[in-house]
Amino acid sequence: MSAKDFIRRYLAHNLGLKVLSLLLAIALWFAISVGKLH
Amino acid sequence: MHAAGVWPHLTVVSVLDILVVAFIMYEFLAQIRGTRAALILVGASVAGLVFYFSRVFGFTTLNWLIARVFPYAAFIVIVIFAPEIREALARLGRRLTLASSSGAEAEAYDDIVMAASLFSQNQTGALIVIEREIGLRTYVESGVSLEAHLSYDLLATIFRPSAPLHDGAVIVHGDRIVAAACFLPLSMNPVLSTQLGTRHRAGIGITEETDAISIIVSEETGGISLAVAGTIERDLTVERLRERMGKLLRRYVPPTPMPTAIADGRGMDESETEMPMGSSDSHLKPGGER
Repeated sequence: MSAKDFIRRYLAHNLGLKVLSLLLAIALWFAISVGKLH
Repeated sequence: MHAAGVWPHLTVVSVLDILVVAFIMYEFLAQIRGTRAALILVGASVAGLVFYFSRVFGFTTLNWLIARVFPYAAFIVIVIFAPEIREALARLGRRLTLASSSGAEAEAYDDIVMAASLFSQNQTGALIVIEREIGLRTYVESGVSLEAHLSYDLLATIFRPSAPLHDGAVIVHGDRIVAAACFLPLSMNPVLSTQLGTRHRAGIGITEETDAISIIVSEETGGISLAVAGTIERDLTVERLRERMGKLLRRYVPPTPMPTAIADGRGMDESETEMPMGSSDSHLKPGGER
């Protein structure tokens, strides 16, 4: 499998959903971290 | 915001933590995308936002009301998402066990593809459900138990319009036909095309509730459809159906063309019509009487 195929199959596939999941996870971590500080 | 105070705590472990949570979220979102669970999730998110803003803007009563309801949300989520949770756990189990179909099953599935080709040519309505990880005993018990070796001839016989068992779904487990004339739950997905009849809705409905695969042949158009995880792929060619089944059932599909079933047309009554759509009964015998 070439690098292009790999990127298309595993990275670009559902990219929007992956980015959204990452943002949600960061937001969750952030919210919990802020809570711990207080 | 306290960003400046939080970011210094970002360690390698935190990054790994975030990535693991992101992976779980992605799997969850990918799982529910396009299903009724996604709409419910949107509704729950809106309720969460209302709760947040009610606190920010001092809507005391609204905030009190939502705060009283929220503790029960976990139970509500478990009840509503039960099929999705079941499907997710089954998928996880499948990944861990690397389950694959045996040679005998692979041959049996070729018989299903050939039978679908025959039904398509003769415009004979058919609904075949292939059981995977989640058991279909509830639905098997609603039909007539067969426990017979799966073969092209048997499928052709069962779905002959004059045959007593042609109404309803055939349920396949491995290389055996477990039951015929089974009742299936109808899909209640409002997004589905209104062109879909009861047989198609039943075929999709079972894939919403379980991880089964449905093969549906329309008796109006002869079109072959494949339903999996609550979604339907319509007007498949025989080759495409074979390829998709090979992928879904994890088996090697050699690039040789499938032998096409010869339609004789005998006993295949084309005048039979599908059931009217929009029935309120959620457990109908697909393509047939109640």
